[in-house]
Amino acid sequence: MPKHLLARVEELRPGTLRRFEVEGLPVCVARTPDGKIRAISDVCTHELASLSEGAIVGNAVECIEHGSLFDLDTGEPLSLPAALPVRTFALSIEDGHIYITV
Amino acid sequence: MLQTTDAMAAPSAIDEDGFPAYPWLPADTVRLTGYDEIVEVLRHAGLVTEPRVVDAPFKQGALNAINGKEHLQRRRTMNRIVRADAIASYREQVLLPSLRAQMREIASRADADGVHRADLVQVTRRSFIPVLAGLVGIEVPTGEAGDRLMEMLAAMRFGADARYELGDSRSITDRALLVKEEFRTTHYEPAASACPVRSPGELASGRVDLMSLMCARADPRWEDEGLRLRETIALMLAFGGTVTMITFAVDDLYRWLAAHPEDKELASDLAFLGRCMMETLRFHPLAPVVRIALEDVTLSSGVVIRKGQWVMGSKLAANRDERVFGADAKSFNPHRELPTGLPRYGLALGAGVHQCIGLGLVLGMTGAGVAADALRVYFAAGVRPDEVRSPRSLGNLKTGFSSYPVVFDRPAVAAGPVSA
Repeated sequence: MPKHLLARVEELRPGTLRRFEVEGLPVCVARTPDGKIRAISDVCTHELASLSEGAIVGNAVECIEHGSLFDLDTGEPLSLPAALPVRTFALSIEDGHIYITV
Repeated sequence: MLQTTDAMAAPSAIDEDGFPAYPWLPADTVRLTGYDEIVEVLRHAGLVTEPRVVDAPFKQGALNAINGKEHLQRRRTMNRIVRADAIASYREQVLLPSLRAQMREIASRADADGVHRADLVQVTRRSFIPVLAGLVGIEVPTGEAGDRLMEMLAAMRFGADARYELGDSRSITDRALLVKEEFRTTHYEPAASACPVRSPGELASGRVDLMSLMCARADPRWEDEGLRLRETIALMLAFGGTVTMITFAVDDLYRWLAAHPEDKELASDLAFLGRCMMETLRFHPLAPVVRIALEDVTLSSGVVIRKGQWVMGSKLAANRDERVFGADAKSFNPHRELPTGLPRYGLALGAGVHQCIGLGLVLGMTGAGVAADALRVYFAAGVRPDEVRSPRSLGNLKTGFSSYPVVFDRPAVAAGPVSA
């Protein structure tokens, strides 16, 4: 599957979320305070809000609309009201650049 | 003899499909009972809530009475009050001590026959008042002041719910307005004056309350002092639904355990109690969905709602639809198996942008929140319906209890920490 360049690592501050669109797919890229970078679908499975507008809570993303938490590693919902997981995406870091595979 | 909860809590002016005979809705109101249809209504931007004139003094401009971008901004701001870490703090530091204090009080007194009787509605209100005060940011009242605050909330609730009255709602609203003024001077103004926050930069990074957010003008519309008071009242009035649902849950679970003694040990299991609470919510949704169309809307089912027309969706019918919730949908079953993605509580907490802001508080992360905490303490204390004194409904078109007499067989047991 093809890889797509997202950004340079330094463009994503730790503790922040950023939205990208990759081949028409909205993607939420999260850099947790410990520096790890993960990517999940940007669409909350509860009421379709944009997860990149939310916040990082531990190893999860919190949806800004109704507070659902999604695990950044597995995409699984950790709290109500979400009940379905979000898709996760594989990332690779090469020469300081973040690539995503969709 | 125990009565069925539907009969005692839902007055006869609510039909078997769960449609109340609201006197203010026009005859051409579209009525819906399908689960997917009602979800679509709740999610449709062209179908909105509209405060009535009678409840405007209590709700106009507050969170659940606004729509569109204004609502989105307000909701995002107020979500800070109910974040997961704040809820955990309220449960451990506020609610559980409050519940235990109520059990201590009940244990310290008994009727002449040695039986510990109480009104579950009163006990739950008293237990939750400190949580409510914390969320809103007012001083926690104790003793008689706490009882008076509960009376004020009840009076304002009647005023805000005046549209649910069958008779003349004017006198109810007039009384409620006097109480609103009392609330303003005795609780709202002292809290607003004492609030140290004056700008968004001064907001704490941890737990925040509504008063702090409003004093910081975290939403620019809160520059309007009248709105700040109504926002406070509206949030406090939502508490009444929580009390009603916990009361229903005690009734439902008591009957379930009587019929299924093999589940008796589960009455101390928070996960099971969370499922019970969600099943109770599904089984007893408090009020239908009511919206008005801003534009012509055609639902996926083909139902047409014209601009300016009202639509009412019966959460009761949808939540008891056997095609959605299974063959026993018209019965209470905390072990209900459901397809992934279908909320156990059905439409009880709404859907779409207006879904209940208190959902995380009541149900916690995965079902066990403050409601399950209360159930655990009550059943550890040996709660059971008082078979001599009957529950009383609110007496209007809204489902709910004004009183629910109970007996606690062992309140002293629950006066200390309840072990798993």
